[in-house]
Amino acid sequence: MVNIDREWIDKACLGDEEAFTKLVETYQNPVYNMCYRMLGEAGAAEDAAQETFWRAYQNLKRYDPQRSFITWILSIAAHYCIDQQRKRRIPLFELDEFPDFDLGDPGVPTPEKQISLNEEDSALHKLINTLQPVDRAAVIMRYWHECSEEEISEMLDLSVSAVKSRLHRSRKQLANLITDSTISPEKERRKNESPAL
Amino acid sequence: MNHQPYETWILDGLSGTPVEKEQLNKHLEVCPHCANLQRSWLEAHHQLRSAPITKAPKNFISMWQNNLVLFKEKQKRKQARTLLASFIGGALVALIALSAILLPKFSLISVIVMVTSSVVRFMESVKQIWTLILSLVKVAPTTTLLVIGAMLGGWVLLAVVAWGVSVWKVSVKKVVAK
Repeated sequence: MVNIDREWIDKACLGDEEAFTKLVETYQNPVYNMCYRMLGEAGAAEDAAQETFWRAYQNLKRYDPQRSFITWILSIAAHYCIDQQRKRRIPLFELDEFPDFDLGDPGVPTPEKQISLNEEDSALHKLINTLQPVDRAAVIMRYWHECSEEEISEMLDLSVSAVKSRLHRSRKQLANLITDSTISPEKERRKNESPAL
Repeated sequence: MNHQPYETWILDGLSGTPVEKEQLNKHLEVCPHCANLQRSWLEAHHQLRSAPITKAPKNFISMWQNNLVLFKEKQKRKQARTLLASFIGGALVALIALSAILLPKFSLISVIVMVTSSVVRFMESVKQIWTLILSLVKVAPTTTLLVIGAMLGGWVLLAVVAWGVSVWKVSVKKVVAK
């Protein structure tokens, strides 16, 4: 795969659009997933992913072949999404919006399973949307793209210790949110319970 | 109660020694805070791990191919704007430099006099040309005037039609792009 990538990258550097389209085809899912998890909305993720590939296309000559292409392109996507979120500063997730699913694929879940998946997805979005954009990017890279702390540090231009502390803080925040979400309904019930009980 | 290093072990993982594991288990038995943190983190970890990679829409590649054309056009426009701005900027700088070199040689009043006399001269020439045209109209035969009038009218009509067609084309193109 790496050799094929190298060939496509070399061709794309020489202006071969078809070669770059091959790269888009190969990396569309990880890039889209990164944008979707960062922005929490299908339309915005689509635009962000397209913009990511355009930025990569423009800066292809600056790409260091020593780095893996996926690391490089995910880093572009992450930085773009972080910037977008800093610009927006509005609620990031709308429950009505979910990505389009390919009903023609055999691996696609049934509508019932789909609803349950969407519910899980929205719960997860709510959870990770509470994190700061850079922390969220680190979590997405770690848990969806299996990146090491060193790779994350390279992608987000942070030191390894900064990545470690951000991941630690995020994990703690996520755990606390889970605790709160399990405790709150109980508290609510007790608040409304009859004093006689 | 001190929750360190147990909190770090729970959230960031143990280094792997059995002693650490035993210490953590002992601590979890007596510390509800850490036990709760471990339960919650395991739940969050499960949610993160079980979420699949969201696939890009089916038409992502065709969108990319269309967008590439648009992005390139946008970039060209941006480059043209930058070029124009740099030309204007350069001209302004040259003008300022020239005026900085030349102005000290003239007093402010002489510059005002020069500008005013140029404007007056220009107005005089326009007036003279207008008088010449009027005298020619008076002298020329009616048929010549009619031919000239028809030619001028034709050119104006042609210009109006060309303008109308270009406006129509632009509006049609916009609808197609949408």
